[in-house]
Amino acid sequence: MARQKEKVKIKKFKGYMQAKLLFVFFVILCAMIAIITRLVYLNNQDRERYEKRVLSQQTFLSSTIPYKRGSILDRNGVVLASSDKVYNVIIEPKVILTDEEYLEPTVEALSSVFGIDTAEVTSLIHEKSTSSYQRLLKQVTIDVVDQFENLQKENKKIKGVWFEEEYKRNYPYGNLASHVIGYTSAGDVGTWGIEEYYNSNLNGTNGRVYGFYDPELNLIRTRKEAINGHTVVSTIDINIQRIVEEHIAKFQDEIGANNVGVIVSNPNNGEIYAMANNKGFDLNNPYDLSAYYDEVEIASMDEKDKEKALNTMWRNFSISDTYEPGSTFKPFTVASALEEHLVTPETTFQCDGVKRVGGWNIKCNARHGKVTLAQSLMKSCNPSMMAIGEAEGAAMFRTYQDHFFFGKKTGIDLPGEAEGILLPADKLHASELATSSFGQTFNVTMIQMVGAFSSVVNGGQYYQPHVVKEIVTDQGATVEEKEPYPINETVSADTSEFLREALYLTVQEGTAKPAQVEGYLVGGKTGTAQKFPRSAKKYVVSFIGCVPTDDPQVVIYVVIDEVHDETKKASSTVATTLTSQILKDILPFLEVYPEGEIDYKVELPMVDESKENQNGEGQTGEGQTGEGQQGNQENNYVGFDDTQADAIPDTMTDEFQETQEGN
Amino acid sequence: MEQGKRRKTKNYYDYSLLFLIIFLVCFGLVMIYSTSSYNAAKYYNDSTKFLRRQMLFAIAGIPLMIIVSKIDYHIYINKLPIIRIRPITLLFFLCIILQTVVLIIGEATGGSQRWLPLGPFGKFQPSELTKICVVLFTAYIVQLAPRRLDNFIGFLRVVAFVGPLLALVVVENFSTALIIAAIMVSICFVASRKKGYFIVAGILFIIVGSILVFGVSYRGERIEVWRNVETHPKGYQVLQGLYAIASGGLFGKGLGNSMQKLGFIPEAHNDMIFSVICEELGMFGAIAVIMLFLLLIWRLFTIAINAPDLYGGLIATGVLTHIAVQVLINIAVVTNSIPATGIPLPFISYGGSSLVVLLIEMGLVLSVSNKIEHER
Repeated sequence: MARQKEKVKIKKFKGYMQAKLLFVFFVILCAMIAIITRLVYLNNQDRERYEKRVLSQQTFLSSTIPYKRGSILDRNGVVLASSDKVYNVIIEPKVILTDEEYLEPTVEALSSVFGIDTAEVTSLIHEKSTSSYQRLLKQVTIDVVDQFENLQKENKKIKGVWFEEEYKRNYPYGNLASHVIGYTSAGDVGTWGIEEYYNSNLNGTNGRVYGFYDPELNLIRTRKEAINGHTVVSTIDINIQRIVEEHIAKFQDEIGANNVGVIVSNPNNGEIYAMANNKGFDLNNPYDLSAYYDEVEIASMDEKDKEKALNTMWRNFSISDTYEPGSTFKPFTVASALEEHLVTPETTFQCDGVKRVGGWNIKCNARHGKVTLAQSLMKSCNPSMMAIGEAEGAAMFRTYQDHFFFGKKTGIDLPGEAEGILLPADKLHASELATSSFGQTFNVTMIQMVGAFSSVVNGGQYYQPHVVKEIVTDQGATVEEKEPYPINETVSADTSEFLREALYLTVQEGTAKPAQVEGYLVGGKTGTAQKFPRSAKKYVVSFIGCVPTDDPQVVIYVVIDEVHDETKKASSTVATTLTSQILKDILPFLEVYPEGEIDYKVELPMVDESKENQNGEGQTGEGQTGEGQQGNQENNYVGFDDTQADAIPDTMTDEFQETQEGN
Repeated sequence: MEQGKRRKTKNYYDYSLLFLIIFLVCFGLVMIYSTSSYNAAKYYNDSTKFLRRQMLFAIAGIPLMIIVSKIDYHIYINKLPIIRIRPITLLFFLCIILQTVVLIIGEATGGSQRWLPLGPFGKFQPSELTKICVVLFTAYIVQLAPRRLDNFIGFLRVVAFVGPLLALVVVENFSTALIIAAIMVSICFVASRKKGYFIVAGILFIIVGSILVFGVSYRGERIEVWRNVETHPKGYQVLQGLYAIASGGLFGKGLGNSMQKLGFIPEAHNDMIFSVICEELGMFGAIAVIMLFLLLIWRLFTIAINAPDLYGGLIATGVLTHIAVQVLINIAVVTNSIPATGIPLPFISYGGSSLVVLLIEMGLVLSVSNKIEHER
């Protein structure tokens, strides 16, 4: 009974209720479907229109605060490139037109400060009456802006004008070190040089002013400050760079050549002090060709020609162009032979003025007779080198080329570096090996030569050449320091010492005499390379050297491609003379001072020329030959004469064809 | 149950509903982090500020829901042993007092006084508590005499009971009043055997509603905004939401990639959160969310029709209505289908008291499901 009573008390959720709830559920379902339909409709109907608005209001409600791109400094802190704040004049016609009283004073102020035509501004304001962003002027300086803001303070009716910050890249030295520094396009895109290689370090992060609507629909602005880019401190010394460029310009005026490249560097850490060639351009105006072409020529150029001309001008000869190094390569041949104990300083070679290799008669610049290792460098004797090459064999020779970083990028921190072209070991037949031993039939870049030569004279440490010393924040805190550390050991200290002494003697008594600088221990090697095709009789003359030879502090490399003067075109004298002139001016800046009394005695095994070669023709003995004559002697050293030039093996032809096209 | 035959029965517990709720809460946390981190980092230097606060409420709310689900829901309508008062009556008067207090000393935000300061616990919206109260109270009144609802006078009697609360809410918070009214009406509708007079009631409701809408200035303005959302200066918030929805596309811009949340949609983690869901997860994600709610409502529906008694069934009906109306109004506002009004999206929008109250309601329904006996 009790149980039944309880049952009565329980009120059930009855069937009709279930049915009605199902109806409610059905209504909800319909409403949900309606809402989904609405969503899909919105997406299809307004998608494009609204998507655009989403993007457009990103700029409408928030404006950018530009960061300042980092400066580029030389090694002493001189500014080579900097970004300076300029202002864009922005007017808001919408605001100006809110009250009739605003228009006249505002337009008046604009025209008095910026010199804009009153009628022009007025019509612009009326034309774009609903706009709140009209750029009136670009890149106005701060003092003009100050002037306007003072006016604005005096007269409260000047409304709707504000200034948008922007940075403009400025290169105070114009075309100085243009290939190393590089320029920027669009304000923050580095093109060539340090500007390109260190683009991401130089660039910062833009800040923003955000506009927000709070729930009461008031516009609230907040600022997120920009993060400025880092400053890049270069290893370039602007004084040295300037002197080098002046000498190049002088040389171009007096003699002239297709290309002149000069690198000055520190052999003890790979820092480049100066890197210049004869095709500088104005970094503030990098598209200006007027330095090399006259107006008529520029006007007649089509897009393609112009692009080609610009690229030629922007090209960094010192790292992008390859050529046959010629005799300046000989120190490396000698160094490798010493390393392998194939020769000693006492070893003597026999030079008969010509050597027959692989069916070719390869000539020397003179008949030197019996020469020691040191004399082979001093006299730039080809048969001696060929003998070494033969003793080493193709594989070993090729290994040493590799060892000295030829045929691969040095990894210098500049864009556009070339690798050079080496013949692989299996293509180095007897004749190619012979010519390679004195620096022909393979291509190198200037920077490869500087890197390898530095290692040979500094005691054997290969430092990667570089143009940037450190990266600091705009506040001066160090971000990254380029610690110099040797990446390879190329030769032993003994070999290095022998070469320094031999190179000193080469300048002192040998073929490189014009490179002497009074009061300094200059050591180095000349080179006259015959360009391909050999029959064209075109030459690259060069000199690579170091100062002082007892403890090298400076390495200099001068390359002159196709001297315009016919009588001097094959004479390395133009290179040695230029080197001497440059060294004389730059050494004091590098704190390498002339020694009052030279106390440097070099004792290397020598063959006494007067005894051994009594009838030696064209000797390069002390004080016997004039500069021009000496050069002319050297010019004949390449063993291919006109008749033989056509018979150069095909493999060589192919390789060199490529080189020529590459250049 | 027939006598003599003994059947083995087991109490049911709707685990699928439980997990559905937990999933929605977690999804809500993810979306709150996505929508609020930018502004939180900007203004408070702490991108997880809103996330951590909401998490705290979720961590407190979910155990609370499970505790409520284990309490017999009849407790609320049985008289307490000593003071001889029903808890539901107590709750009813508490709500009336709180709603009165909030009108006097409440904290005003956005032009309306809706919040009671609670010291260290932040602030509390009494109208949230009122929603639970209305569900339980209406269900109680109706189940006392379901037959009376068969005529209009019976319905008016229920209105008379709930009326004072409704009146107190409608002063400052029209949209909550709308939800409360909907809960009340739907419970009555389900319990009644007649349909006719609901049509009359509906018409009456629309008339009163219109008077309220056009009578109060700021509501009239909202209609204007709704109709001219692209040109009206105050249509900004809704318009930004529409931009977000429309620019999402089919699969959205990817979680966290909304552009509109970066200061364009004001307080994107609140009522407008659905627009950011549309932008980041696209139509696909938005419809999936709607489907989740539909599934949730379906579970509530099953619990209601299987409820062991009328009271439990009506509680489930009330909660079902609450969730459904809130989801529909929220999404309708976000899509500019109806004039703007501030209703959060259940379980997902940011808001501590709203989340806890919803979880307690879910606890009530789970408690009803727990009383369902089924054969083994």
